[in-house]
Amino acid sequence: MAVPGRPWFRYGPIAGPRGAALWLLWAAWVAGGLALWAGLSARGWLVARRPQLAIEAFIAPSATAAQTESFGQAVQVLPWCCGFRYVSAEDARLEAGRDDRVRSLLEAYGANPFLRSFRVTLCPGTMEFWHEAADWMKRQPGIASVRAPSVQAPRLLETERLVLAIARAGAWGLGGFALLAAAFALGALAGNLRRELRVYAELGATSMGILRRALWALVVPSVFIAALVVVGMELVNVLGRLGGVWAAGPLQPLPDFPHEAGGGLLAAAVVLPGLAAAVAAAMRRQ
Amino acid sequence: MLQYLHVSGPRGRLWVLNAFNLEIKPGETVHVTGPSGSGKSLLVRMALASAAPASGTVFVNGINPHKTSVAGRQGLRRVVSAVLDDEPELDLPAEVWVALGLACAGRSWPASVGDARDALARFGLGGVATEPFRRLPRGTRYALALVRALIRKPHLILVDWAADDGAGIPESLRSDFASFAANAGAVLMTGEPGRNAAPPGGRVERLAGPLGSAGAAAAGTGGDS
Repeated sequence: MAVPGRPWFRYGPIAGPRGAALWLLWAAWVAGGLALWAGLSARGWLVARRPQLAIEAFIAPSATAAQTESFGQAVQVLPWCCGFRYVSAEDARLEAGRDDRVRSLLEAYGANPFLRSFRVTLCPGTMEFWHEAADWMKRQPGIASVRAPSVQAPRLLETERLVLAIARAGAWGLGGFALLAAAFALGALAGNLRRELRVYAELGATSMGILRRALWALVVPSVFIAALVVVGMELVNVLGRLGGVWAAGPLQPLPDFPHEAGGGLLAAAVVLPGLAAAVAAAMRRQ
Repeated sequence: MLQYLHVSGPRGRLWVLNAFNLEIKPGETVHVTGPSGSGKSLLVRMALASAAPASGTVFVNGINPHKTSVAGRQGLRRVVSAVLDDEPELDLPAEVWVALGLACAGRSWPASVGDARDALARFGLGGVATEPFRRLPRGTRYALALVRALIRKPHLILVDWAADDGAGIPESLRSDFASFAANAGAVLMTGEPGRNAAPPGGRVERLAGPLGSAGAAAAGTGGDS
């Protein structure tokens, strides 16, 4: 649809068909935004969704008060420790007694068979080091044994690896499509623009006028669409937080749209038109 | 105003315009005729500096458009209006398409659109002002191209439009075109006199057909004018 009186503000060259190219450009930037979103935030999102795993270090009956104190102080400052709780033998017995099947056994046993322990909650971001953490605890004086999440942690990490691999493969595929689609759309626009600029040149337009038109026709729609996509995705962040739409619904909360993704998308929207124009110019020379 | 001195050139793989000479003075109209491929359009493109002669020189207003700077060439194009049959068709309303002629010559955009609108109304073409240019009948497009050429107030108008009887040209436009040709500037038209709403009178220059392959004819002799 033509805009009478304002040809400089049209979002695309006015020679040749341009509607399909602009739609493709939309799709390219949306796909690029989703790819960056998935690629950059998938790991963080998975880490934030990790369940809390704990390692329990049982204190030997012979451990001195100084050893216990020293362990407690040392473990709190380690990077993988996000939570720390002392569990007395009595607390341990009470916890175990919540299970009806265990309670009858404990009552039959009489004395308290439980050891005192430190329950250390692993930080979600450093859960990969659960094995090293358990080893370190085992070596500390006054620690009799350690109970590590040796089944849950490997299973969880393996599932994460798989999900991450799928997300990254999808992001690469989507990113590749976005790049090709943007290059193709911008190339088509550049091709049309060449014909349009020929008319301007024949009518005596100045070099600055022609450059201004070229910038309007290629860079502006690209940056405009990419900026709208970035704003749209940031809005999803804000609305998701304000309304709790996804948290309340059946879906898990979405990861935030990372700012690096917005910057990358806008950078591509500035750089790619130049490349498309260069390719169009090179193809013309052949 | 427009001068071709011993101009020769290849047109594709054929050699045309062997040492062609022509001078058009202000107030003159020249019709260049000849068979297809004889170089009529090439003459127009040479004057617009969109094609260079293989030998010889072209002068527009005393300036060689092929030797001058980019800014100089742009300046020349602002005083030369071309009505070209092969111009890319832009997807614009007719009045905007006409206004581009003024805007590219340095006039502000609102003034260009206003002048274009007024000119179309004056020539009885106000009814098509908002119609998409590329969908208009060929005769109307030609009339609009003439309007665009005239409102730029050029020194020279070059018309390269395939033979047309000019039936769609309003009488007022025909008369303004004739008045421009007789008083203000010069006109070079390709095609026979009487076609394309050509102004009455004028000189006729006949071109010979292609003179053989470009390589062979470059060494030969011949004359057009």
